[in-house]
Parts: sequence; structure tokens; C-alpha cells
Amino acid sequence: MDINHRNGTVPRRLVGRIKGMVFRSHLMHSMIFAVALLGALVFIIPFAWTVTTSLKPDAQVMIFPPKWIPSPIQWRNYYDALVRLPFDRFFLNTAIVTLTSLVGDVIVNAVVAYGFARMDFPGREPLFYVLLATMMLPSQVTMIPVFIIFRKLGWIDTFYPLIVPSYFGNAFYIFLLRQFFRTIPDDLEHAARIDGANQARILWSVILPLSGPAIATVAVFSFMFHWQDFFRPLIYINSTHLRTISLGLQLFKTGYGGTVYNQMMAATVVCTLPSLILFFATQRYFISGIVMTGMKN
Amino acid sequence: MMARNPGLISRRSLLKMLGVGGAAVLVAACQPKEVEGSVEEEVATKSGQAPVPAAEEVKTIRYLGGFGQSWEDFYNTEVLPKFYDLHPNYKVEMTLIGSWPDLYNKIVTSTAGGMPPEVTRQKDFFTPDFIVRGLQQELDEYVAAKAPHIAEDQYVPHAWSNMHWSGKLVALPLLIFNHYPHFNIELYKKAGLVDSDGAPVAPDTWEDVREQANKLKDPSNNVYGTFLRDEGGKEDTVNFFHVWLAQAGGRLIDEEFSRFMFNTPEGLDALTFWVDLIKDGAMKPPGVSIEGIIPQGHVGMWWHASSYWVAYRRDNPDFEWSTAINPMRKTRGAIVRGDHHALFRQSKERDAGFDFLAFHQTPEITLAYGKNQMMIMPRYDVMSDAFYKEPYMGVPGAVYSVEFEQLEQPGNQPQPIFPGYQESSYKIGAQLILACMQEISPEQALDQAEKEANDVLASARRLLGVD
Repeated sequence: MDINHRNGTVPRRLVGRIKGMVFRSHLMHSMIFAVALLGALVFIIPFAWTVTTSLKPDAQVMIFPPKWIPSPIQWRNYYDALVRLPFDRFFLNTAIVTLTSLVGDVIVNAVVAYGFARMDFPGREPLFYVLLATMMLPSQVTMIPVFIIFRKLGWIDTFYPLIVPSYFGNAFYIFLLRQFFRTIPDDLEHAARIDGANQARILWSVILPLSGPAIATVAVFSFMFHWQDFFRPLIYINSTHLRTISLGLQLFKTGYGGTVYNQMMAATVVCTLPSLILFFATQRYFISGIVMTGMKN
Repeated sequence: MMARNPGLISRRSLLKMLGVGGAAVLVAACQPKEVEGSVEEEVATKSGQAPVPAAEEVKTIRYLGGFGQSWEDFYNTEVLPKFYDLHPNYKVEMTLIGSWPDLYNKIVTSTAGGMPPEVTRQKDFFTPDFIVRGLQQELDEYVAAKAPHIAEDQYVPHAWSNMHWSGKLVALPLLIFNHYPHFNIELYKKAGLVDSDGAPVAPDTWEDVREQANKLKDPSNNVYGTFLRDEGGKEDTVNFFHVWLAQAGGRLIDEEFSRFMFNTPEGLDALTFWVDLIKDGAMKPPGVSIEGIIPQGHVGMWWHASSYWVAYRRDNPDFEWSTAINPMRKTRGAIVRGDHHALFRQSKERDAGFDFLAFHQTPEITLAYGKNQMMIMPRYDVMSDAFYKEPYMGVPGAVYSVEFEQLEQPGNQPQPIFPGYQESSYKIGAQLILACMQEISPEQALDQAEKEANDVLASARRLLGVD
């Protein structure tokens, strides 16, 4: 076909070039998709193994090579796992700790981050760097001094050591929220001040409504951390009725070869579901990160 | 007048806030809360400042032990009711932790944080870490005063000696095990290594082990003659090497636990034996992972203890095996090891804690422990019970008498316990694995392993003031 762009059409050499560009674009996208698919498979295989093992009879758990589709499928493992141990109690305990900690993480860190982002006071920057420096401290260093503090308060074998620290700030969440708050235009704040708003009113009515993605991110991270937390309950909780699900899952181990893996995997799948559901429900929300503005440029 | 920037906090406001915060801290610091079981309360009690307790005061024993719900059920149904019958004013708060490293972390944190448990169940090699720091209570006086049933002649020799540090009794044996050969009956039949009754012919010498392992291997079906027990270079690898070292007539460490001494002709004999088997393809090398290697029939001969039998039948209800004592090199030795029960010196109810320890050592509870967990217990009066005369779950070859016979072998050695055991084991295990993977020669591996392990040991001893 002979085409001439001066008549509204595109020259042959340009058609070829465009077709080449489109082909390369499709090829690139296909390659990226293939690599992403491979990566997804690598990450999903352990969870897939967990799910299939949760449905296996005892004799198929350790078969090598693994039997990916159990036969027969033993749904009873789920019932046995959740009834054998008081998982209703463990779920309730974990929900109490997670939700109360989440509230603390969101509210307290937002207030502190607002101070660092929007309020000018002597020593603000050095104080912020000190805050960041605390992220460098490994938890193993502070483990015993913190235990002593809680012991003196009489809080060992209670939920307080798991919940109260969330109401005293978290350096990472403060940093994350501070950075987000700094992207919100000052004009909105000035407009609110003209209308008579004080700092608290500005935070509540202007900043927080515009910070949905960042707040959601903090909430998701907080939920997943507290839901899966193992080490702090291990150290501070002694009584069985106060165990969280992470400690509860450990009770399937019997030592010296007697662990009931299929039931343990069944309980693991059930305990993982809330985190999975939350992640898939909120991933678009906290990935988006769009700041809305009411001012014309 | 220029308006003040409303975003600024004034210096006066900042100082007010700091003042209020500082006052709050001071008020909190001036009112420490008395905590039950704290070291401060113990000091106050000793100085006579605490009030005299009521006659029927309930004494709480905090017990930190290992593993899961089956142990908790066992305690709640078989141990604690009988204990409370003897001591109605005692209460046991039990916390069971599902892994040894996590249990160790919890013991360390609780003790360092001033809230030690009364009693712990622990691995034998935890004991020196606590005893050299003065955390664990010596038990000689307690035993003499309150527990006549705990006497040396009641226990398997190495299980008793393993409870001592610097000549003092520092723990009580809870259970013991030692590793000896097990045989897959089906694979032995297939290889023609059975007697007229169809039972596997146990190897009598190392040469028999080599010959049988080579006959048992079947690469086309992913079957090995034998395999290294835990080739991860961890503590179990060293313990397994120690078994072979004992048979070769060697020692892992001197009697004062001051210097490793396995870089000897005996150590080389043991390690070279492994490496040669791997080169022949008769021993599964490190790095090759086969899940369920034993019950799924991927190995003909392996070293284990009766405590693992429960997993075999769970993973393969048709699996059958037999056992024998260790083959002869210079000895038929094994390493006698097990779990300890320990009493913590700074715990609040130390006397009650000892009562709980001593209760575990009664023949009735010792036997209940063994039956419930299918384990060998270290008391002679328990080992003669009818329970141990029956084959395990009807498997004819799975008889406890073999493990008892192994426990009596003159070449046995106790599990060495000393500070820095785990850390030095990692150094030794890493070199052993390199030799098994043929990246270095056995001579190089032993030389390097002994140097590195001795450095770690010297450092641990110096740090803890043992020297």
C-alpha cells in the first residue's frame, strides 16, 4: 500500500516504525508479565504447600516428591486443629491486642507526625533525627531493660506490654506520616487558620481527611505486625488463656518428631486469612497516594 | 505589630510542656510498684521487713517447659493432680514453649529481667550457661534433706554424671536418649541382608556398615544406604560425629571442658569413614534434602533413638524397622544425653520448686512420663517396667531392650556440657559439612574445626570467669 502523509495518511516507513514500536512494547510487556508471574509463583508455592498439607492425611504429609493434590482430601484437619486447642480464645486475644494497638498506632503517630511536619519549634530537626536513630536499635538490645520496666509495673502476663507501647509512638510510622503530611499544601492550612481553626482542628479536619492512603498504610502495617507478632507474646505472656494465635500455633509442636503438621498447617491457613483479606481489600487504597487539593494554581 | 506565626510554639509553651512531662516522670519514679516474685521482695523478706505469711498461703511454682498441647494435657491429667494431692497448698503455673531456642530466650529474658521461674525443663547444654552465672541452684543439700529416692545408684551412670558441674549436683535428669542403628526391614530384605527369620542382620563392625550401606543404596530409586543425622552443621551434626568418635576410641573435649581434642587419629578415622561412604554414594551427602527420608523408605540404615518412633508410624502406618546396638570400631559407644530439670536460685518459691522437681523423680511419675512420650527414662527401677518389654506399637523389631543394652556399653560417653557448647558446635559442624561435601580434606576440616572451636571455648570461659 502506498500512503502519503500530506493527504492525511502515514508514510510506509513510518508505518513500519510504528508497527515495530508497538511490537517491541508488546514484547516488553509480555516479558515483564512473565517475570512477574514467575516471581509470583515462587512466592506463592510455600503458601500453596501449606494449603495442600492442611488437607493431607498423616501418611501423605512427608511424602517426597510432594503430593500437591491430597487423596483423600481430609477437611477434618481444620476441625481437629481448631477444636484441639482453644483457638477461639487465641483469636479473641489477638483481635484485642491488634485492634487496640492499631488505634494507638494510627492516632498517636499521626499527632506526632503532624508536629514534626507542620509545627516549627526549637530543636525540631535534631529531635526528628534522634527519633530516626531509634530505628537503628535492635530489639534484642532493649529486650531485657523493657522487660524489667514491665515487671516493675506488674504487667508481665498481661496484654499491657503488647498494647501500651503503641501509644508511645513508632519511629517508622511517624516518619512515614510526616513525609506524607509535608506533601499537603500549606495553603489549605492557612485557609483553615483564617477560618479560625486551631492546630487540633487543622489536623482533624484538613490534614487527616487528605491522608487516607498514608493512614491506611500505617493501619495495614500495624495490623499485620500485631497479628503476626510472636516474640513479644513469647516473652511477656505465660498463661495459656492469654496466648495469641502465634503462640497458639506453637502448641502443635510436640518435640522429638511428634508434631502434627497437617493440623498445624490447617490452623496456620485459618490464622493467615485475616491478613490476606485485609491486604487484598486495601492494597489499591494505600498504593494510590493521591493528594487532593482545593486550591487553583 | 507583626502577627506571630501561629505554627510556632513559643519558648514559654515549650518549657511548660517539658516541665509537665518531667514532673510526670518524677511522680512515676517515686512510686515503684511492689511486684510479686520480684528480687526486691525477696531481699525485703530476707531482711525481715515482710509480714509473716498466712499458714495456708498458696505457693506458686512457675514452670517453664518445652513443647505443646500433648505435654500440657499430660501434666494436667497425670502429673499435677497427683502433685496437688501431696501438696494441696501448691499451685503450678505452667508455660510450655514449642521450640528449644524460644524456650531458651524465655528463660534468659525472665531470669535477666528479675522474674526467674522456679523450675525449668531444658536441654542438657543449657545448664552450663545458667550454672556459671550463678542462676541455677545446686541441689546436693536439697536432695540429702528431702529426696532419698534420688540416689546415684538409681540412675544410668552417664545420666547421673551429666547432672554435675564442678562436682556438684546442678540439675536432675528428666529423660535420656542415645543413638544407635535402625534398619528398614523392607530394604534389608530387598538387599538380601536378612537372616533365616527375615530379620535384618545388624552390622557388627564399621566394615559391615560400609558393606551393607553399599548393598542397600539404590540411586535409581533415590535410596541411600545411610545418612548423616542433621547435616545442617548444627549441634546435632556434632553430636552425631561424637557418636562415631566414641566408637573410634576418641574424645570430643577434655575432662575439664577446657580444650577440644578431636583432631586426633580417632577423629580422622570417624570423619574419613563418613566421607568415604559419601564418595561411594552409600551415604546421603549434605545439601540433598529428602523429606520423610526414613518412613518413606529412602534410607536403609540410620542412627536414631526410640523417642522418634512416634513419627515413623504417623508418617507411614505400614513402616517396620528393627534396631541393634552400635557396631564395633574400638568400642560400641554412644553419647548419653537428655533433658534436665533445673531449679532457679533467685526464684521466689525455691523450696516448693524443689518439691516439684523431686516429684518428677518418683518412679510412678517417671514411668508415666516415659509411657506418655514413648521415651527412655534414666531410672533403673522404671526401665524394668513391663511397658518397656513390649515392642513399640506392635512393630516386632522396635524393642526398648536394645536401647537399654546400648546404655550399658562401656564405650559410652556422657554428653559434654560446658559454656559455649552451642557456639563452638556451629564452628565444628560447619567444617565437618565442608569435609563431607569434599570441599576440604578431613584433615583440614578437623584442624580448622578444633582451632576455631577452641577459640570460641576460650573466649566463653574468659567471659564467664570460668578460668
